[in-house]
Amino acid sequence: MTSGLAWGWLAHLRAGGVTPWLAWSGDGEPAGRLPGAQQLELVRRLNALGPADADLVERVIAAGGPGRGQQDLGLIGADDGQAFGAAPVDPALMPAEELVRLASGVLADLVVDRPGSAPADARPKLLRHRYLLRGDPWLTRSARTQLRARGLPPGGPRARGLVVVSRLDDYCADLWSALSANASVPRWSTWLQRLDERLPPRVDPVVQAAALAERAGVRDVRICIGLDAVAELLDVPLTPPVRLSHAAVEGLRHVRGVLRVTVGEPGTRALVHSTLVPWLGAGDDVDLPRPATPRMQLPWLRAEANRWQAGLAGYAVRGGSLEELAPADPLRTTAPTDDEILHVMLRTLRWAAKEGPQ
Amino acid sequence: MSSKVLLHVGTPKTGTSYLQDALFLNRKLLRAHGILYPADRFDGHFLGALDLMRLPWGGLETEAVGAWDRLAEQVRGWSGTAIISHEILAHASAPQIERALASLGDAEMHVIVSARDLVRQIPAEWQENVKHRRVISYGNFLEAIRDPARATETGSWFWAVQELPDILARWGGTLPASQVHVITVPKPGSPRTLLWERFTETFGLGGLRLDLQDERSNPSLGVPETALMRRINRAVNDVLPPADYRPLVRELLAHQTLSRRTTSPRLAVPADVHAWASELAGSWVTALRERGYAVTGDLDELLPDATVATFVDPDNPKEALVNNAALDAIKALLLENARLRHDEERLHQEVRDRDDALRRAYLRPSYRLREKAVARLEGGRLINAYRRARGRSSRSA
Repeated sequence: MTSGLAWGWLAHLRAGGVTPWLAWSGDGEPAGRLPGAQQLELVRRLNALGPADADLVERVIAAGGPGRGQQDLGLIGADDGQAFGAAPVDPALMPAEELVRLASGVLADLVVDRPGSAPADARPKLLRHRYLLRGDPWLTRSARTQLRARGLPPGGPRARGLVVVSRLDDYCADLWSALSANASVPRWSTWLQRLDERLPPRVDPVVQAAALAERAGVRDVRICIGLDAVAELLDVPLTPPVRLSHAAVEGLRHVRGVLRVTVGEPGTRALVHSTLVPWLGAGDDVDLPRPATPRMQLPWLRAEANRWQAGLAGYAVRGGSLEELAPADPLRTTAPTDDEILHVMLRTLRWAAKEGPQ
Repeated sequence: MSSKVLLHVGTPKTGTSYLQDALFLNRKLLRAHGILYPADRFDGHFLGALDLMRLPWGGLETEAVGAWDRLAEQVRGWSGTAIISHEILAHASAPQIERALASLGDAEMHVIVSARDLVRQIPAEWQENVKHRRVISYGNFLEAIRDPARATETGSWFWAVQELPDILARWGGTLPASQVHVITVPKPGSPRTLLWERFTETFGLGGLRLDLQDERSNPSLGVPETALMRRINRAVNDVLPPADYRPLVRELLAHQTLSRRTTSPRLAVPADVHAWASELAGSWVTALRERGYAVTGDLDELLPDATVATFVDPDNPKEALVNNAALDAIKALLLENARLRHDEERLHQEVRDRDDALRRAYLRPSYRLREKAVARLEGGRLINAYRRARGRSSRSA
C-alpha cells in the first residue's frame, strides 16, 4: 500500500501547501493513483510562487510527461509496494529538466485548450501610407500585425521600403527567437556558430535594402532603427513586442516540440504566435538575460556591423545612427540553466491559468 | 464496441515487427474472422504510440497527430476482438496508460508483453540506439543502464521498455492476472516457428491460414558493423536530415547491407554485466511467477544462459573488420547512386520524348489553323464563347 503520508502531502499541495516532502508529516486518504514525484514537486514549486489556481493544480496532477524522460517516480520514504521501476527520490532534488518536461506538456495543453486570438485585420484604409517592411523578423512581424489591425496592410503603389534594424547582437537574438517560434532550430550557440559569420540574405538588411531600392514601384528606402522610427514614418503608434529572455525562448522551444505532436506543424505555428509567445512574454522575468553573443563570435559581429554601416550609408536613416548597431559586450554569455527555464515556465503557467483566456 | 482488446505493448527486439507485418498483411482475412487489426499502413500503431506519448521521432511525430484517438475509435466501433501492437508502448507512463485504457471502451482488456532474456536484450537495445542516430559508446551505454538513478535519457528509455515487472505493473496493474500475458522468446537453437506459434496461440490466430511470406525483419548487426554505423552517425548527424537518414543509413546501409555480414563477431555483454543481468533477470522471473500472469512459453527462458558468450568490445573493434564493412557500405552506396543516376537519365529521356511529341503536335496543320483562329478571336468577345464551347477555362494550350 502507498503510504498515507504521501496522500497527506498531496492534499497539502492541493490546498496550496509548500512544505517539502521530507519535512512533511500528516496522513491522508488514498484515492485512485498517486501522482509521481515530478507532478507533486511541480505543484509545490507553483505554490511556492503563491497558491496556484486549482484547475492548474489538477492539470499538473493528471499530466503525463511528454516525450522522453523518466517514468513517474516514487517518493523516497513512502512505501508504495513497488520493488521495480526507478528508485524513489526526494522530489526537492528532482532535476529541473524533468520538471521543465512536465511543465511543457501542461503549458502546451493550456495553449491548445485556451488559445488566444491574433488581432483581426481591419478593412484597408483608402488613404494610407504605402510601405514594405523588411529586416528584424521579431520586430517586423509584430509591426505588420499591428498595422494590418489598423487597416494598413503592406504593399501598394509607390510604397516606401522600410528596413528595420537593431544592434547586431539584438538583431541576431531576434532572428533566432523568431526562427524558434516558427520551426525546430538548433540551440542558440550552435545556431550562431552555423551562421558561418554571415547572416542569410533574406534577413541581411544590406541585401534587403538593395533589393527594395531596385524593386519597381518602391518610392524610396529608409533604414529604421527600432519600431519607433517605423511608427513615425507611417504616422501610427506601434507597441514594440516583448523580447523574450534566453530562458523564455528555451521554454518556447520545449513547448513548441510538444505542440508539434499535439496539433501538427501549421497549428503549432498559429498557436505559438497567437498564444504562447504572448504568454511567455507575460511570464518572463525581466532580470533574465536575452540570448547573448559568446565572446568568440563578437569579432565577426563587429565586422558585420561595419559592413552594415558601409552598405546602408546611402539610405536615409531614422531612429538613430548606424554607428549604434555595433554589438555590445555581453555581461553574461552562458546558456540559461534548467532552473531558470523552469522559473519562466512556472511564472507562465501561473499567468496563463489566472490571466489567460478562459 | 469490441468484446475483447489485445494490447501488445512490448518489448522491442522480440519479433514484434514480424508479428505486426503478419497482422497488417492479413488484416482482411482477420476481419472476416472477427479480428480487427486497425491499421491503414504497416506503422499505423507506431504513430498511435507516438501520439499517445507525445514522443518526438525525427519529424515523424507530425504525422501522428490524433493517431491514437483514431485508433481507439476504430476499436470502440468493432464488435469482435481488436488487436493493437507496438513495442514502444512499453514506454508509456501511468497517466498515458490511464488515458489509453479509458479510450478503448469497456471491452475485456488483455495486456500482452513478449519478452526475451536480458543478456540478449542489452546489446540489441544499444544497436537500436545506434540505428536511430545515437553515437553513445557501448561502454557508456552499459554504464547508463547500470546507474540506479536512471537519470540519463539512455537509462530511462532502456528500463521503461525493458523492465518486465514494471511494464506489466504499469500496463496491467488494474487487470486480473489472467488478462496479463507474457510470451517468452525461445532460446537460440529452438525451432524457427516456435515464437510464431506462441504469438498465434496468445492472439487467438490458430487455425487461420495467414500469409506470412512478406516479412519486414529488423535484422541485427555484428560488432564491426555497429561500430561503423556509430562512426557514420558522428559524421552525418549534423548534415543529413532524418527523412534522408532513414532510407539511406538505416535501411540501405544497416538493414540491407551491413546486416548481411553474418560472419563477423556478434554483440554480447562483458562477464560482469552478464552476472549482474542474470541476477536481475532471476528477480524478474520470481516476481512474474508470483504474480500469476498467463504465460505462453516458459519463464525460465528469460533466464540468461549460464555460459558467457565471447565478448568483443565494439568500442575497440578490429579496424580491418570495420574497413571491410565500410567497403561494403561504399559499394552499396555506389550501386544505389548508379541506380538513381539511371533513373534520372530515364526520367530526363521521358521528358525529352514528351517535349518532342508536344513540338510535333504544334507543327500539325490542324493545330496551326486553330492557333490562327484563336489569335484572331483574341481581340473580340467571341473568344469566351469559343472557350465555353471547348469546355475549358485555361487561356492557352
